[in-house]
Amino acid sequence: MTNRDPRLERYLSTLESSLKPFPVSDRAEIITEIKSHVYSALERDPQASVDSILAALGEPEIVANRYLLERGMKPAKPPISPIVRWMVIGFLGSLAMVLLFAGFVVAQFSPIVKVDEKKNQVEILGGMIKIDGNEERVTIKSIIKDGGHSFSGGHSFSGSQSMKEGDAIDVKFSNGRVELSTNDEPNFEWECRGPEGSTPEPMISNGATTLDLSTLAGVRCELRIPKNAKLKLAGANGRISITEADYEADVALERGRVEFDAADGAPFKYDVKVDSGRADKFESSTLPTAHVAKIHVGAGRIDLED
Amino acid sequence: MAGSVENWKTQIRKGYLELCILLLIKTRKKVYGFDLIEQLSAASLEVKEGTLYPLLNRMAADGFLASSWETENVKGHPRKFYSLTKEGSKLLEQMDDEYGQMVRIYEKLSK
Repeated sequence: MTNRDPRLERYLSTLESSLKPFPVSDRAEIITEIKSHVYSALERDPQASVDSILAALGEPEIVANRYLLERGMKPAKPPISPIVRWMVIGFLGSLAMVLLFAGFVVAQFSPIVKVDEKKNQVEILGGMIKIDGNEERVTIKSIIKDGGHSFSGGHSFSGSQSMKEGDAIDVKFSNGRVELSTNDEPNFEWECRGPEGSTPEPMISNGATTLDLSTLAGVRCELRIPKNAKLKLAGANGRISITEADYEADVALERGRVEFDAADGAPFKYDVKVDSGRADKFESSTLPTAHVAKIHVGAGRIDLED
Repeated sequence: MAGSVENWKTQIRKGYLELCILLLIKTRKKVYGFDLIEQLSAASLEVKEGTLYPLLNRMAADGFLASSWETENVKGHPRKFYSLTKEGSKLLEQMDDEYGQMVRIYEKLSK
């Protein structure tokens, strides 16, 4: 039973290795004596467990150190108890995570303060807060990211274009988010936020209004489309949300998500296609007055919103 | 200050324990570690195994104790028996004298 008790073997092996400064013969003698002690203790009380006998002896490293101290030899470093060891590991791990996070924050928001005397501008936290002395304007940049581009509150623009029944609207964007609603007024309106840069102007020709947002990475727009207009919306990456649609829609998105919700009582004839991904089931109306909704997504999904 | 009395006890017990061990080995002629612990414990002198064995090891290395491995019966395991050497007996006598004197001084002072 005890001859090959793994706990005893482990204890003796640790003790043996901790007694390295002793000659081999001395070590062997000590090991045999400790083993003999365990057997004697078990003989005296057969109910006793090897664990409790070893616990009474003390940690093998500490016992070894006593031997060394008694013989005037330099003791080894005191053993680190498993609890302390895990506490140290836990502490160091947490510290590493905090430092990593701090590093990220510093990288994200550095330099903390940048003063540009020529332009009369101050940038705080890596440009997150911008104070422009010339224009007496303070800009706070949002750090919410989408597709690697931040939606910037730094540059907003909006516009409105009056339209006649059945006029065409052509909107293009490269990546961003576009939300559409129906305008009861015969106006095409847009309210956008995009990165710093020029404000796109609509181009009007032959009853078609074109708004090209494709140079504005991460643009975010709300578009109000007049009833019965002919909308053509094309984007590369992002999300398009159409609510209460009551106009003809030709929507194409290369990658992302399109949500479509028809206005109450507005019949639609759908032409929905996803190359890679999935689309909800759209039920087309057979009414001759139905608008055509053509939605094409390259990779992503098309959701029918009720 | 509970810590200071513990510290004092550790110090005074160390020399006292050595004296008691030598005394026990002398009266029993030869004794093994586990037996020694039980004898000391029976006399209300608790000693940790992890303390006693290194102490015996040092006293043997210093030449005060002789040791031999013996197996008491066929089924038993070998035990390391300690006995006093000549130097050990001499040391015990010196310790005995010193301790006796210490006790006498203590008794005299506490009167």
